[in-house]
Amino acid sequence: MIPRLSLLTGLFLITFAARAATLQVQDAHVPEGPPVAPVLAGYLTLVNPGEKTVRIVGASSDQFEAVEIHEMRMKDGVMTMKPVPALAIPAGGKVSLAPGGLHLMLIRPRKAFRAGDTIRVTLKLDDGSTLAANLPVKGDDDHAHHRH
Amino acid sequence: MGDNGAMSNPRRHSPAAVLALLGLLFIGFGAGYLLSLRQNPEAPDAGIAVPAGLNLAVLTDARSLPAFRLQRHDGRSFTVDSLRGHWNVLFFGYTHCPDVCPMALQNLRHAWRQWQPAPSNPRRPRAWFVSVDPDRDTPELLGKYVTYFHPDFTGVTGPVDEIDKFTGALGILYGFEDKDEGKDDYIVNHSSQMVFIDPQGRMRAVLSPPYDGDDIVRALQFLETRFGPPANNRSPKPESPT
Repeated sequence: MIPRLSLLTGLFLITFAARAATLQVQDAHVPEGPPVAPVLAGYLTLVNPGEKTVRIVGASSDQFEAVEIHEMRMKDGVMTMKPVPALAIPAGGKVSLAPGGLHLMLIRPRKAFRAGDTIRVTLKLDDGSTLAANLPVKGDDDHAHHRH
Repeated sequence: MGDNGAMSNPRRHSPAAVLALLGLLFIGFGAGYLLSLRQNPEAPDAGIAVPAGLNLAVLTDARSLPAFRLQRHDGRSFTVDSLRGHWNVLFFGYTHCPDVCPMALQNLRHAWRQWQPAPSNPRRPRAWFVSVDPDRDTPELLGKYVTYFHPDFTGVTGPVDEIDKFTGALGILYGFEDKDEGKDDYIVNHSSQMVFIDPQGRMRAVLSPPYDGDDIVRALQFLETRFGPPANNRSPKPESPT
């Protein structure tokens, strides 16, 4: 009885671990902004080593009033921005949220963030599970130049 | 700021109308205008070659600006006169802008760190961040926002009609998406070029993305060399020649 139970528990844990590891987070960061900035941009790369496409269908953070995924596009020198309702990370592929493209729109911070702080974001996946991502706030000197 | 809200009420178009307007602007005005800017410097008779790798479009004939009256974040007025006596770099955006505007201001900060204009020199170049979103960007918020990046940067905004006179003359496009009465979350689409205005208060060049802080410095150096630094007699407090 006891070995069977632990076997079941083991199987359950393996399954759970496999589900939780569907996506890997890399290069997560938030550039420090003015303390009065009503919004900040969060950047990260999502890697999907699995065999199924994973969709991000929502995001939240207890440090912000709302979190959305937005996409910027350059049209004739005009920058346009649109919310992305679902972001698909293809099986075996990755999607980068990076300056000038996709970003996490972190709306109305509940406090001002400084370089060295960490912003915690929860991503909602289409299978109902969640993924926690920690985004360190980085100062201007942490990354020398930006071309966008 | 109360009058800003009142003045912009008639301009709260439906998103579709704004998009249609933006589309028309692109087709009828923006595309042709930007194309002409890009082609002019390369025209055989233009003779204005820009440094390699710099997305800088230089006007063969500097363009005079119409009269407009906006407001600086410290409450002083911002007119063509505010642009005279020194070179100027302008960026148009809004503080609810997560990505492009903070990065543009960061690039300007890099440029200013390299250029190191002496704050006491009245002929030092000026950087202006013009908000096209006066309903949300109060002068107070703008001031705190821009001076975070550099104490010598100035935020500018004002009534929509006055903003439109200025942006229209410079070929800067912007439009709102999902902007409705009482709604605080809406997107502002806007041109992301840097505009250079000469010490006579005339539009002289446009730097198109992608650019970084080094590009801004190179553009300023090129323009100063090509068209001259501000004349001594134009400055309010001329420095003794060195």
